[in-house]
This record gives sequence, C-alpha cells and structure tokens, in this order.
Amino acid sequence: MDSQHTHDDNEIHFHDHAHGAVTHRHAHYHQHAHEKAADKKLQEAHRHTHTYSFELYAYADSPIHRLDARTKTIALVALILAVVLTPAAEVWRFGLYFTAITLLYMIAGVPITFGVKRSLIVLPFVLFAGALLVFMPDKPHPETYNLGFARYSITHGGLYTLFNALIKSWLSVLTTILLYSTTPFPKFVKGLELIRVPQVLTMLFSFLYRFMWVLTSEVKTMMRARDARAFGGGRIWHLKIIGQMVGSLFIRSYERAERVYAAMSARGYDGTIKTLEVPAFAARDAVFTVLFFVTLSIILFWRL
Amino acid sequence: MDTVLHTVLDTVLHTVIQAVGLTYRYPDGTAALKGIDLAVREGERVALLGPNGAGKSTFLMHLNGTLRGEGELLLDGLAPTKQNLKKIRGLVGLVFQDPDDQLFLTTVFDDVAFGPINQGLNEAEVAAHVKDALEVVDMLWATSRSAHHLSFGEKKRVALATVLSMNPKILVLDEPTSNLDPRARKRLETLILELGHTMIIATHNLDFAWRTCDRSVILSGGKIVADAPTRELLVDRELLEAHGLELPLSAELEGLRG
Repeated sequence: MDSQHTHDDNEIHFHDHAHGAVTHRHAHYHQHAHEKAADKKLQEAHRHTHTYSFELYAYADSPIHRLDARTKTIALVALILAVVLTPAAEVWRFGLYFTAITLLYMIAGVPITFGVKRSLIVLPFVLFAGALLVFMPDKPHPETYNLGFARYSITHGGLYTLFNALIKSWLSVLTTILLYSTTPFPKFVKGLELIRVPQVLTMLFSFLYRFMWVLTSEVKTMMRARDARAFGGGRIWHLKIIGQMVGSLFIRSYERAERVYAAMSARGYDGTIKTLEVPAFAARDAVFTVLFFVTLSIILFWRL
Repeated sequence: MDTVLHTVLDTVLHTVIQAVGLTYRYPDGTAALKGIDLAVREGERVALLGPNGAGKSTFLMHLNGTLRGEGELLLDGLAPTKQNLKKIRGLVGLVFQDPDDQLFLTTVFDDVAFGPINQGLNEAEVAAHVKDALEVVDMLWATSRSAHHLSFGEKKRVALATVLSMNPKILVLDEPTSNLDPRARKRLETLILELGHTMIIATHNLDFAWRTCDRSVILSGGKIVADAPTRELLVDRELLEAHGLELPLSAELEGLRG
C-alpha cells in the first residue's frame, strides 16, 4: 500500500495506492489524526474492490492512463478504421499493427497476455458468422482444398476472407481492451459526451455499467426459482420457460428504469448529466495524437 | 383569545407540509388519493401507515413534485409548480424503498455527489457535502466503493446520504426498514432519532413507528382515516385491524406493563 500522502487535512481526496499489485487512483477518505492508532481503519479505507474484473487496470497510472479519454477514444476509432482498410494480403502490416498495440500495452503497464486472453472472446463470434465463408468460390484464388468427403471443398479465397475477418476483428478488440484498461468507465463516458456523442447513447452506456450486475443477479434469482420447481419436462417446455424469463426480465428492467428515473429527478436531475471534473486536453494529448497518427499512416500507407 | 391567535399563527408559520383536499387519479382512471388533508409542522416525525395499495407511495411522490394531483399542496410555502420544482427537490429529500434504484452511479461518492452537483455547487462544496452526509450515516469508509459491493443495510444508509447531501429540510422515507436485519434496523432507528429533520416515514413496521415517530397517520383507500399521537393511535386494536394493520408488540407490552 502506498503511504505517501501529500495532503494534511481530513478531506476526501485523491491519491495513488496499490492493492492486488496494481497501483491506482481513487477518491479516498481516511483520518490522519488517528492513522497510527487505527492503521486498520486506514486499510479499511483502501479495502475497496473495483466494479468489474475487466477494470483491473483501469484505475492504474501510466502515460496512457493520463491521456484524455477523448484522445484515446479518437485514437481507437482511427486505429480500427486503419485496420479495416488494410488489404488482407499484406499480412506484414497486421504484424506491424500488433507490434504497435503491444508497445502501447507496454507503455500502459497492462500485460499483453491480459489483453490477448480477453480478446479471444471474438473467436467464436467470427468463426460462427464466417463458417460458411470458407466454401465460397473466389476468382483470383481458384485453388480449393478437398475435404475428402461429400462434394464440398474449402476454397483458398474463402480461407482468405475468413482470415481477413478474424485478424481485423481481433486487432480491433485487442485495442478496445487497451482503452477500457486505461480509462475508468465514467471518464470514458464523459469523453464520449464531450465529443458530442448523443447523450441518449452515453447514458445508455453508464446505466449498462451500473445495472449489468443488478440484472445478472436478477437472472440468477429467476434461474434459482426455476430450478427449485422445474423437474423433468421436455426441451420445448424448457425453452418456453426461458422465453418467459426473458420477457419478465424485460418488464422488470423497464419498471426499474422508471424507479431509477424517479430517484434521479428527486435529486434534481433535469435531463443533463453534470459532472465535477471537466477534463482538459494537455500537451501530452497533442504529442500522443501526432505520434499515433504518424505511426498509423506509416503502417497503412508505406509501400515496400 | 390571544392564546388562540397565537396557536393559529404558530401553526401557520411553522407548517412545512400543508395538503388540503389533495386528490390524484392514475392515467388509467384509478383514484389513488381521494382528498388528503394533512398539516405537518417543522421538526415533526410522522409515520404514514396503511395497507399495501392505500396510496402511501403515491402520496410520497407528491411531496417532491414527482406527481401532481388536484387540490392544494404547499411545501414550506411553495406550490409544486414547474418553476418551484428545483427548489422543492432541494427542500424535500425522498428516499426510495429499493436502494438499487437510488444508487445508480459507479461509486458511493458519485451517487452522494449527484444531488449537490445538480444543485450547482462547486467542487469543494460538493466534496464537503458528501463528506458530511456520509459521516452522518457512518459510511465515510465506503467513499470509493461501488454500491453493489455493499451490504443491503449499508446501501440503505448510503441511499439516505444521497439526499442528506442536498441539505433538505424535509426527509421522506419510503419503507426504510424493509429487508433490514435487526441490527441494521436498530442502527437506522438511532440515526433517525438523531437527525433533526421534519420526516414523513411510510412503513409497515409499527414497532419502528412506535419508537421513532410521535405522530401517526393511517392512510386507507386513498383517505386519511386516523391522525393522532402514535401512542394513542397504535393501541387502538379495532381501528388498526379495520385497516389491515395489527397491534404492534410494543403497544401490547405497554398494555401489559400498564
């Protein structure tokens, strides 16, 4: 635990500290007058957990963490666009993208393995959506690979398309993971708001973040209630039950939304979310943006 | 004569909630409130009792202008019109039954700061208000925690802090004791007795009402059917049973003793 405090009064303040090996930053309160006597209390003040495990690194500190959320969001969008626009045949460019992303992970102090592990989540989605692609005939690459059964063969072009989809979505997700590992979610949402993303969308994100857990626990409760009473029955019947559960979850969420809205207006909410800190761009944002876009252009446009 | 005038003036000057013939109909036509007359003086703690569906929550929603019915309603002299809404929301702190509805932001700090920020306070003032409110409910240690990592009782206390931070004059609590274990309930009881606010507390827990409120009001079928000092009202077995309530244990014990 970091014990260097640069403030001297009993106020809510921000400072770095560590638990679980990751140093990070939070609003804190602890009483310094009793610090020695009640070291336990100090520990208690620090004994918070982060909302979701995906946020393990979000509150850490690094040059990337210190960048404005807007800078990072715009960089992410630019990188995804560049990756998507890269011709699939030029594999070495993807290698360069990966190297650049790895470099950013290193600067951010987020282990690349953390990102890679989490990015594997795209595989089933892409493979499922792209499963049929491999059978598509393709003129520039007419080679086929016989499967040894039936009359179907995997085409070279099809494999190419699948590879294209796979590498591009994987690199995009890998970068997205870096964004949320270096930006606390509330700041990310604030950033989106400041770059004029419609507020309906940004609020949707922030509520998703808060109520994700409430919803999963509601689902668990319903599942438990079902398991307590459901014995046997056919598959169709089970599916029907699941359908009804989805419906009831929808109604519950809808009603909760009404109550949350009432609670918000009761505390003076008038349609605009106000926040304390208005972030400001710093010189480092300009430096990062220039370096980032230069690198990106080189990877995308360099001719061998 | 003088004393009568004095009493009248005193009542008028110190009445913070004044409802006269307040009625409310839901959009589907159901009449929820059928003429509520209620005057609450500054510093009073009033228990709002009654069966489910009696209109308790509907009435509470009127007290901060969330719902607007027919009839007269004055909150510290202000009618709940659109222009007054902002003032009224700072004046009346409404705490909902389910803390998961009340705590919708990412950390305890953010949630408690939500009201003060909407009131337009600056950063230092917001931090001071948040600190004071969390200190009162003894939850300062949880400043940077996320609401969903707290116990139910802790969430309830933070929910109370989210309105205390707005420095309201009137506190309106909807079922503050529901789902609390005895220790958490006891803690809340002590807290309520310590706070000096005018309070309206809707509750099914009559023992809780017995210990915290000097005055009780029974709302049944959209009307106020009884309004008396708690210790007179909660010993009236017939009245209570006629409105789906039962004699609290506290009253029975009192009866045994007396």
